[in-house]
Amino acid sequence: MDNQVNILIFQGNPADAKLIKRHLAKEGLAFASKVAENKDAFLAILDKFVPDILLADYSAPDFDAFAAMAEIRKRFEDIPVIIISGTGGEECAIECLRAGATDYVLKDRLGRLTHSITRALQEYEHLKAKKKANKVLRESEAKFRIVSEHTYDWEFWLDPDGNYLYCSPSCERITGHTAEEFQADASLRARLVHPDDRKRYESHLIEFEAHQAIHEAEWRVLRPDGTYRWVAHVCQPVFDETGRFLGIRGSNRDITERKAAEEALHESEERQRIALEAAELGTFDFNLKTQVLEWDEETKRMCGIPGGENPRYDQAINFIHPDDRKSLEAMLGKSFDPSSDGSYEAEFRIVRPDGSVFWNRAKGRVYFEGEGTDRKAVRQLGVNQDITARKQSEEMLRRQQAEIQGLLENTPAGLVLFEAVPPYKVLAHNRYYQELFAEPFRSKGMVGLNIYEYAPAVEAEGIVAVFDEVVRTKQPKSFLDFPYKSDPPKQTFFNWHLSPLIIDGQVVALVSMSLDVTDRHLAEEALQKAYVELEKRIDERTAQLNKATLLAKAERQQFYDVLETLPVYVCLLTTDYRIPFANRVFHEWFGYHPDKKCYEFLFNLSQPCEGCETFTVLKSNAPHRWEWAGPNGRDYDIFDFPFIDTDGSPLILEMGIDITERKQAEKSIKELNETLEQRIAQRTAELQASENRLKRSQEVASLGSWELDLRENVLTWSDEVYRIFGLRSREYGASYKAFLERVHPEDREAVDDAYSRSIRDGKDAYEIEHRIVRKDNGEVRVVHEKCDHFRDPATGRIIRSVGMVQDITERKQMEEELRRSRDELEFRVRERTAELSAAVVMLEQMNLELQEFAHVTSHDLQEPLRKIQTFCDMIKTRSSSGLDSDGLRYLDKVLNSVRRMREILDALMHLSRLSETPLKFKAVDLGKIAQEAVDLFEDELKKSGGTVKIDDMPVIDAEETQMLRLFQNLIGNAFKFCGEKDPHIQISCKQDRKTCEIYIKDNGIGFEQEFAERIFKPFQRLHGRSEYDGAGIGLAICRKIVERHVGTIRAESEPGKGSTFIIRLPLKRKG
Amino acid sequence: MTTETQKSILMADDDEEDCFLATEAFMESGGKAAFSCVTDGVKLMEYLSARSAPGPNGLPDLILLDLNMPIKNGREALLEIKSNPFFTSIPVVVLTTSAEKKDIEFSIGAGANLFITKPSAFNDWIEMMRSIVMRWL
Repeated sequence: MDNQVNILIFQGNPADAKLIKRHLAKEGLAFASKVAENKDAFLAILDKFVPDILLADYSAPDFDAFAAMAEIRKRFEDIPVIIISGTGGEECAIECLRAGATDYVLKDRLGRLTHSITRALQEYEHLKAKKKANKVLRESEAKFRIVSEHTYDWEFWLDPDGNYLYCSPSCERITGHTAEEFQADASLRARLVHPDDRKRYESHLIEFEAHQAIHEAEWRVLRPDGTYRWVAHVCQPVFDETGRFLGIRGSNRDITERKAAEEALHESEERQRIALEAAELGTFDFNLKTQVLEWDEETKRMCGIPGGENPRYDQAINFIHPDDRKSLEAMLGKSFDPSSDGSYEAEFRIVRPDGSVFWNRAKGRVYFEGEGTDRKAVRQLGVNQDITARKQSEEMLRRQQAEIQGLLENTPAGLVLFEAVPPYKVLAHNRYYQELFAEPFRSKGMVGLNIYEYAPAVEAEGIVAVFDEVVRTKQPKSFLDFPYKSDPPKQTFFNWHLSPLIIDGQVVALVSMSLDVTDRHLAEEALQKAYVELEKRIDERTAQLNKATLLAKAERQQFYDVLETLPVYVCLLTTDYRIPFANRVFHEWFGYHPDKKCYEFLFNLSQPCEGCETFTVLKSNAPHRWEWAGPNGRDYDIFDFPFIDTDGSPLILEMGIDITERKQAEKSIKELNETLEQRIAQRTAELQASENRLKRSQEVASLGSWELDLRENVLTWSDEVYRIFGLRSREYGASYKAFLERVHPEDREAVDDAYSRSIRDGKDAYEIEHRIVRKDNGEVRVVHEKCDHFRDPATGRIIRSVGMVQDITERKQMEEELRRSRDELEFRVRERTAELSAAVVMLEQMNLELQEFAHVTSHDLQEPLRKIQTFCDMIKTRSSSGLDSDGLRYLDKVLNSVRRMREILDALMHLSRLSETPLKFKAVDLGKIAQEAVDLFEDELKKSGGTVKIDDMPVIDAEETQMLRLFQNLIGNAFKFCGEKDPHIQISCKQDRKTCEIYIKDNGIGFEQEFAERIFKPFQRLHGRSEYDGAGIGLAICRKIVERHVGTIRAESEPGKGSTFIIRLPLKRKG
Repeated sequence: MTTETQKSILMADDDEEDCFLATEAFMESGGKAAFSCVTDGVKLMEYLSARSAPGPNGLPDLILLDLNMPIKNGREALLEIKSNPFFTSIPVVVLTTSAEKKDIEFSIGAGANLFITKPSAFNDWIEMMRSIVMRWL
């Protein structure tokens, strides 16, 4: 309240007003006052003056105190009004107070006025404050209500008794119950609390009660649908200005979503922790301010210090593998840079204290504080993970992938992955596949294209059909030697494999592998051709060699003829005592039985003869000479020579000279000598020696002997020696010098050396073969010398040398001749072979040219012929009206001729083509083929009522299509030439180990056997065209086919009795 | 329909009689297209190169191609047509005297749409043309 009271005085009598003012001043009341004497003045003052109190005159004439009171209270509500009246009376006072006056003071008791004013003003102040407080409360409540009505949270206000003063409509959204329900039931709110949260709810109430201050708690409330929602509850007591408790204001916020998020977060944190554990992640925390590094247990375990102390930062660096340290420190350095975001990730090796190493993957982050230049790193946090296994498997995987990739890329086969649905797009393929194609695919590849887009249309159809099948059956499919023209016009062949890629029973892709086998394919064909050629040549060569062998035999015969004429017997002996050859003399002397053993037919023995020396030469392998008494009682000088026959078997050549007469002469000389011995006793020894000499020297007609008496130094030659050397007997004295003169100059040294060496080396004998030059005619002869030394039994010194000289020129020549003739023979065989080979090559060339000619001719002739036919046709169909009946007939004849000529050319072309195409051999079941061929004549068979019988047939190596053609032609012929009869055809076969012989027998018209060869020649007909149609080339084709299969074909027939065609084929292809 | 554009057939064959026969047979078969002939592979490629779009005075709707022609034979021409993106979609019928497997394999492999050996009887020519017209025009 102001110190000064503003008083408005309404007083009709100004003196009374002065009196009241004086009175109040006297009382010591500080006041300002305005006085109004009438109604107008009163209203005017009210416009300018704000009074605290009105003192109104009860009895003003025009405007009484009640009116003034009503007027002032219009403007200042509740302003205190004290009515001052001159007249007293209780009734008046009651009237005033009833009318609303604050007090009633009599004029004559103004002493009470100051007190009355003071009290009135106090009451007024109080009322004013109360009114103001009420107004504020009202406004606050309204504001609360307005806010609460629109707030999202559930707000309520409880009066001090716990009843709802207000409940915001949001409650329905949160709890499912309306505000009215809450207001009607004060306990509903508590009942909705979740049983698990009730304890918390109650402790909240107790807390709140005890402190009477704002309090928060969270719990769940039940909704009518049975679900719960989380609410965050806040409540606070409300007091008025005077501290009076006005109730509780509460607010509930729906935090279900936040709770769920919290739970999710919690779960995620939990999961992260579990993941951290599961991933064997270790953590580290480095505080840069304190320089403390903390490793968790996992990190310590990883680094090989389980349960150990945290290392210092500089110690920790030592765990890093030296090779990785530099790069890691560089990276860490970067992450410590305040301008960076501080994160880093590194893979490096850690060396444990025990020396073992593992790969670590560290992911960390550096945290900074401060801004600008003050910004600096304060902390480094991160995780470690042992990725050794991953590193290893990564490395392995990388290597495997590289290997597989490399393998796939470098595989010399086209690999493609196709989509498993039409149109089968290419998902991937290797480089090889790409290179199979022409541009633009070669450079760009085919990924994303389908097969229609890059393969030739016609082949794509076939390939897609295969794709369809593989997808449908889920089974892989393979094609060998699949022809394909990816890079036209090059013909290629592939071994093609297409497999489905099946995952969970579904075909998810198709894997195609194409292996280029063109070279192999072509090589096989070429090889095949080469085989056939080789076969042919071998056969030819064999024939030539046979011929050459015959020649050789003839020449050997000549040699034998020479032997026949010799006056000695000559025979050949085999080791089993047979005589495959003996000359005429032998035949004459002993007879000849080549199938008997020698002792059987010569001596009629069952054992080899005792004392036969012939076969010793096989052991010594040297010529041997001995005497033999023949079965005819005569003596023979025998020469045996071992030699090897052309086939390598050992043979003995024996030569026998009849020496019976000589023997007898010897005998008589011996007898004569004996007489002489008796008569000339002193010369006995000499004679004896001479006899011996003679005996030896005359053992063979061509054997000379000599004797050197070393004691006497006398050399003696037999007469034969003189003859051999071409010296007239006794013309020269025998001397070593004369002997050496006769030795061929080139052999002289060797001969001299042989003799002197035998003496020097103490040998008892020596042999030598050398040439001599005959004195009489200068002829060069070959001699064989053999020398024996005789020693003094007492001293061992050589006292005598006895030698034989045998002229072996003829024998040598014979041997030489034999060898030469064999060489010659061989040479001629070789020469002939070469000549024939050249001839074969030439013939092949000519054949090729001929084939080419036949092909070109037949092909080129077809052209104009076709046109003749077409234009004749046009004449017939379009211009026939211009022709008379003759013209039409001629035209038909032209057409007929053209048709025939075309048939001939067709057949000719077919024949020439037969030789061109290489054969593809495979196992062919001839029974099947024969049946197939027969089936082609079903109509003829039905029409004629004939039969075809097929016996068991073999499976042979052959070209299938050609075999079919062969049977077709032969069966066709049988049908064609059946005459008036029903055709009955029999197909049978005989076979041995290597070949089979097929018989196709009919009961047709047959032919003369003399034509059997002619019918296989092209265009050879045995019948007029009017009788039997055809180009006359069917059998020629048959022969060609059979010959290409290295077989033969012939025919046997008799007119009217049917024909049989006999085909001989090898079962297996040679080579 | 009158608004339909005129179709055209181009025959490449050095044999004048065959060109004549083909034209006659085409008329007889009731074909409505323009029928032109060139006599070798070079002329064929020139004809095609001078035109860039199908339609009247444009690319032909069908090519009848003989394999054996002077200067540039049908094989080379076929390969060129099928490797040229502008011409590759034109159907090519190889019409030749050959019936050899290697020619058939080559033609189909090089992208020919059909391989026909020239018929002898004129009626066969007409039949052939009728099927060709039905199939491609």
